[in-house]
Amino acid sequence: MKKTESNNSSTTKGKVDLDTSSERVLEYLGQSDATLASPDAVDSAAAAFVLEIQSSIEHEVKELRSQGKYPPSLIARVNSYYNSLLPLGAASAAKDFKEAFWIADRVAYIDIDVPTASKKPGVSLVKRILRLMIAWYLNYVAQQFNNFTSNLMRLITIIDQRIVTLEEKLEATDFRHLELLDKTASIEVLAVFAESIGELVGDSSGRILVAECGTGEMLEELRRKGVDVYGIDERAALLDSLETRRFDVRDSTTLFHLHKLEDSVLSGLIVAGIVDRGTIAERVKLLHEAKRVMGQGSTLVLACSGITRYADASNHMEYDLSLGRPFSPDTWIELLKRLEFSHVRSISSETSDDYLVVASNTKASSGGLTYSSFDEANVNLDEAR
Amino acid sequence: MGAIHHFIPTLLPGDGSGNAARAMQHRLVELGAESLIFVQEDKADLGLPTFDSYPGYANKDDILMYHLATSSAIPSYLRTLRQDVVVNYQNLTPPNYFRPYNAVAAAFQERGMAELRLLADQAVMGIAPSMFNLKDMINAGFSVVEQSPIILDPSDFMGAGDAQASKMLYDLSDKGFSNWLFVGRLVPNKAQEHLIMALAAHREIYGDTAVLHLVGRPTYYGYTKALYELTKSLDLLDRVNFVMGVSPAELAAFYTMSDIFISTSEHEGFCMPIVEALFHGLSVIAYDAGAVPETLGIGGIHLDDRDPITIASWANRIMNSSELRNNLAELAAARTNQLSPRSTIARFDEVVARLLKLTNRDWSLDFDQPSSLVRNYDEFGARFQATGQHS
Repeated sequence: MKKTESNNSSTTKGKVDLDTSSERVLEYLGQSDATLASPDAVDSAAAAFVLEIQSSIEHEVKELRSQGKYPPSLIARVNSYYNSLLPLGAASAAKDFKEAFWIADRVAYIDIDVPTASKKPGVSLVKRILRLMIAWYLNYVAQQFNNFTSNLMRLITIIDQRIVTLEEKLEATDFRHLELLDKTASIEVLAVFAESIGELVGDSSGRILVAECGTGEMLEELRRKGVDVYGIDERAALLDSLETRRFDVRDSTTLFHLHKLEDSVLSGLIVAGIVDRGTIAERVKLLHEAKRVMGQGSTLVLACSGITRYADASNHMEYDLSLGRPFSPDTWIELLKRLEFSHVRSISSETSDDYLVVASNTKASSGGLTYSSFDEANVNLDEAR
Repeated sequence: MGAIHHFIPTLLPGDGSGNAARAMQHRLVELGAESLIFVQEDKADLGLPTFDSYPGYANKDDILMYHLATSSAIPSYLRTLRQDVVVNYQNLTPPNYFRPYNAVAAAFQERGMAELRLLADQAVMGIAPSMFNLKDMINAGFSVVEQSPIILDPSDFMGAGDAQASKMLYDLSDKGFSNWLFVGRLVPNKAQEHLIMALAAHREIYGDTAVLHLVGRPTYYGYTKALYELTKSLDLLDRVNFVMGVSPAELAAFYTMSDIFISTSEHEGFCMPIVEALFHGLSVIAYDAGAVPETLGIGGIHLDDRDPITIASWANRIMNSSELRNNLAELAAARTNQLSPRSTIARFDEVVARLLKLTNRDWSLDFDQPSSLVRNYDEFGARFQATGQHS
C-alpha cells in the first residue's frame, strides 16, 4: 500500500492520536460516570491466489497451535476475564440476578415526599403549599403503584426460588463440573471404540467432527486413515495437549458448536459424553442438530457407556455428576428412526456393555428441522416411553 | 404529479441511514420527481422540515418512504395518512445486545420491530439494502420486497485526509507498525473485543508490530469500559487507539493511511464501512455474520469464526506479502465496482420504476438522466488513483 507522508509537522496531539487514546476513553468513562447484490463468483487470478493463501494460512495456524502458541487455555482465560468485565446480564444471567434484583427492589417504590427546598425566596413556601394541596392525589397514585411493585417483586422472588430449585437439580449437567475431572469414562469409551468407528467412517470424503474428543484417540485413528477430522471439547488442558499434537480442535460444547454449524456440512459425526451425561432434552436436541448439520449419506456414531459403568461409579465422577438417566440402545434407535435416519443399529463391545449407535443420514434435512421441532420431539419421546 | 418524500427519525452527520436517505432523495430529484426529507430530529442542521409539517406539502398522489433503523413516532403518524407508504428497512439490532447496557435502548429496538410489523400491513413495498434485511421484512409480513443496496456517495472522502491524523498514522507505519482499522460505533453487536483479542494474539505470535484503531463513537458506558479494561489487562493500551468520533477529513485519513480493515461484528444490516474500506483499496478481513458476507462479496477475506490466531495470521501475511496485498486490492476494486453508484443507482431506478407501476403512478420520470453521484464517484476515483493513495 502506497502512502504519502503528511505535510503537517505539527507535534501537538490531536483527538485521534494513539498517545491520547487512554485519556479519551477515561474522559468518556468519567463523563458517563458522572452523568446488492449477492457476491458473484469471479473466477479471477486474484481470487484464486487468495484462496491459495487461505489454505496456507490454515496450515500456518495449525503449525502455530502445534507449537503451543496462544493455546486454547489462554484464549479461554482471556474470554473468561472479558466476561467478568461485562455489566449485569451481559455474560452470566445467574451470577447477575441477585444484584439486578436488589437494584430493581431499591427503585420499586415511589416516594411522594417531593423536595421543596429552594434558594429563591418564597419558592420553597410555594412548593410546600403545592405539595400539601396535591398530596391526596399523589398518595393515591403512589399507593397503587407501590402495591403493584411490591407484589411484583414478591412474585419475582417466588419465581427465583422456583428457578433456583430447578437449577440445583440440573446443576449436575453443567459442564463446568467436569473441570474437576482429569479423565472421564466417556473418553475411555471413545478410545475403546476408536478402531471400530474408524472402520465405519474411515472412507468418508468430507469433514468429520468428533464431539467431546477427550484425549484424542478417535482423532488419531481417523487422521491415520487420512480423514479430514476435527474435534471439540471444553477441557482446556486436553485441548492444549491435542493442539501440540497437531490436531484441529476447538473449545466448545457439543450443542453450541452444532448450533453454529451450517446445514449439511458434515460427512460424519461422532459423539461421546453428552450421550451419557446430557439431560433428556439435551440428548433430543443433539439428534435434531445432528440431522440438520449432517450431509446426505453421512454417518452418525454415538459412543455410549454401558450400564455397568454407572454401577461402578466410584472412579467415574462423570456419572456421579450426571442427571440424565442412561438411554438404552433401543431408545436411541427409536428416536433416530423417528428423525428419518436409516440403517440404524447398535454395536456392542466385546469386552464390556458399552455400545455404539450407528445411523446413516440418507435423507438430508431440508433445513427446517431445527430446535423448533424440539417440542414435537419431546412429544414423540413421551409416546416412545 | 405527486412526490416521493422521505421520512427519517434522526438525520445525523455522517450517519449511514441518513446518507442512504439523502442519496435516494438526490437520485429521485435527478429523475424529475419532487422529493423532500422530513425528520423527527435534524441533528445535521440542514433545516429539514419535521414530519408533522408534512400536511403543508401533501399531495394525495405522494408516495412516502420511511427509513426504519430505530423506533420513532413516524410510523404511528404515517398510519393516519392516506398516501402510499414504502419502507426502506435499514435494520434493527436485536434488543438482547443492548439490554444489559441500556434497557431503554433495548426497548426501543423491540418497539422498532413492532413498528416494522405494523408497517407491513400498510406499506405497498419494502426495500432493504441486503438480503439479510429482506428476510426480516418477509418475517415481519411484507409481501412485496425489493433489494436496493446503499448508494455509496464518496463526498465524505472528497476532501484531503486530515493532516494530523495522517501524520500520526504515517509515523506509526514509519516505526514499523501496521495499522489495523475498524470503523463503527462501540456497541456490543459489533464485538470489538475480538479485535483486541486478535491484536493480543498477533503480538504474542508475530511480535509487537501492529496498532488497532477503533474509529467509532462510544454508545454504552458498560461496553466501552469492558473494552478498555480488557485492553488494559492485555497490556495493549498503547496499541489500541480508541478514536471516539471523527470528522469526515479524519475518517478519510484513517481509510487512506490504514493497512487492513478488520471486522468481527456479529450483526450488521449492510456494513457500509466495509464498502468504504474496499473503496479505499484496503485489505478487508471480516467475520461472516449478518449481511457482511453479501456486502463483502468477492472483495476480501471471509472468516468462519473469530479465532484470534487466524485473524493474526491473516494480518501478518497481508503485511508481509505485497503480492497478497495487490491481489486483495484487485478484488476490493472489483467488488467496489459491483457496488459503485453506477450499479446501485441502476438498481434503485429499477425499484422506483417497479414502485410506480405497482402503485399505478403514470409519472414520466427520466430514467435516462445520468446521475451526478456516478460522475462524482468516477471523478473522485480517478483523482484518488492519480494521487497514488489507492493501492
